Amino acid sequence: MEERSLHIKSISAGYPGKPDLIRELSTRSFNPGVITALVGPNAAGKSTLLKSIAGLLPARGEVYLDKQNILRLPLLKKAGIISYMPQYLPFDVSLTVIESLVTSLKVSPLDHISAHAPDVRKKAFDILEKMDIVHLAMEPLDELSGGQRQLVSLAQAVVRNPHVLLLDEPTSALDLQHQVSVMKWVQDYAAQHKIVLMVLHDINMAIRWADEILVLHEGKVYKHDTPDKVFTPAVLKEVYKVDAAVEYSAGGHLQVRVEG
Amino acid sequence: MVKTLHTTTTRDIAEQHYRQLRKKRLLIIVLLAAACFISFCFDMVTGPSALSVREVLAALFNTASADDTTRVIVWTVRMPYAVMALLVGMALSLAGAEMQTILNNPLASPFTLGVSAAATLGAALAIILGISLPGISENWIVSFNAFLLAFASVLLLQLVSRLRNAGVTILVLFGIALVFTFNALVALLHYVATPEALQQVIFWSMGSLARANWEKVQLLAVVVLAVTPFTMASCWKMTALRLGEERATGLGINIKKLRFTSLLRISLLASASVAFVGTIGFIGLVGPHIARMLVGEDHRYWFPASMVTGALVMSLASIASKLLVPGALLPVGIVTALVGVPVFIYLIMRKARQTR
Repeated sequence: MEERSLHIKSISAGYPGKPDLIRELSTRSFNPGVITALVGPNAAGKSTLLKSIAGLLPARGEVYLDKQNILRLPLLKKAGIISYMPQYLPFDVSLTVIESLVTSLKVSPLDHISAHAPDVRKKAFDILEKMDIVHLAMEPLDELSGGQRQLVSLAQAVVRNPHVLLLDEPTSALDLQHQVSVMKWVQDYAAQHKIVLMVLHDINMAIRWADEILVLHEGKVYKHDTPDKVFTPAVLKEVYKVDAAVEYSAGGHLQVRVEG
Repeated sequence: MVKTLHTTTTRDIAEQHYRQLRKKRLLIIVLLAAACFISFCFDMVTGPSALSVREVLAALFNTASADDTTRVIVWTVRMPYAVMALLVGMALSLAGAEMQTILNNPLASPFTLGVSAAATLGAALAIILGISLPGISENWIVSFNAFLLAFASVLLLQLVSRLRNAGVTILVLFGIALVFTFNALVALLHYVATPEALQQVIFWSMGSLARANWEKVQLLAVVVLAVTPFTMASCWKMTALRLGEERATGLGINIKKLRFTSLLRISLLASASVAFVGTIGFIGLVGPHIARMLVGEDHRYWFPASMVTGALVMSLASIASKLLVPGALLPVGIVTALVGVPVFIYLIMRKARQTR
């Protein structure tokens, strides 16, 4: 089991129009087996942070996995450790589900997976079977429903068995049933001593599924703790500018209810 | 227990289907190649000089027995034209396939970004003003100029995308701007040209296989043979790019580098084709499109399928160019557009019906 944890030291990144969307942001460790939700209002820098860690945006600063600064790693090396799941799969692609998975495995070499074609195919079918979507293997990507697309996208992200899994709004377009099936799977994945970071818009989703919450506000870490310690009316007022009640449901679950 | 049993069978079936699919795709490519060969044979026995099949065969396989005229027609006219048709089809279609992937646009073709417009400008400069680099022999200056400008236009495009760190949309827009600029410059040259030179330029811009000779065939064959291995080596990366730029980067692909090397290959293939036979539109669009419908976008199959589809369409167009007006040889560029467009539209409509 890998026990390496991730922490961010003084990272700055942004877009051409907004060069410093996040500024010298540092965090404490993200540990294996823990799901952390990145929350915060629009333009707080959630996706920017996620993409910087993934190497999709140029960033200054350091992101350590154990003692290794992964921002310095070449793309190919990084692709063996980290996997990023974009918000959407592209449309108009004439590939089947299994082809997309085989490609994800074949395109860059991995230390722990042989590039031998039959092994790659086996690995690809294994993940579909594990996720209980093997019946979709031969479906064209373009003919999947929204929920199926997201599951397949997740399969593409985890088929390489990354130590760090980054998810950008994995459930944004999904109905309740599919939200649950995607998040259950993410939970199972984290349980294999993996680090999971995900951007979530919906606070109640974050409470329900994440072990820890990282609140971003104006490009900085506002709070990083367990959901019950993070979500207080005061925090919600300051960060989201809303009046909200924090209460426990009959089942003992924390809930945030926004007033007016 | 029941569930395990159930999923195992589902998986077995899926694995079996995937195996069959891969076999089917290989078979499609082989069949297309066979169709190319048949089309090539037809191409060899059709032509304004109305040689019989027997005469053609005699000139091919028993050269001594054929009379001089037949020998010349078969060996220095029909054969290089027919081979050129296959090669140009392969080159343009492969270039189109690569273009569509790196620009993430199924409507892209080598000509979208001004390659042929640049080639025409190069040819016009040579024909009208006699401008070329020193040391190029008279026979080659038109082709050479066309190649040079076509190649330069792609490099310019690449430069722009590097300088401004531009994305795909900027690249396409800049390419379109290039098309208009080159067209304007060509029009300017038309304006100052003598009537004879003007006629020559206009004929040049209608693509024609009648410009083929063995030297050109050899050169284009070398280009295609040299480029294809690199294309095939990139096929996993190109397939991964279809899953989106972010995903592809996450998979360890340097997209800028991939795009640059692909553009180099595209420019070589397209510039060489256009330089030797003039503008032949449409193949770069329709070849990859038909291939995609037949084998999907696993680039291991799609690239070769695009090549053979392009070769087949071009070869059929070459036959049609000889048959449409009996006794005459129409410029093949006109045929590819006139015959190709309705076929293309039919295929798209059929696909639209299927997916609905």
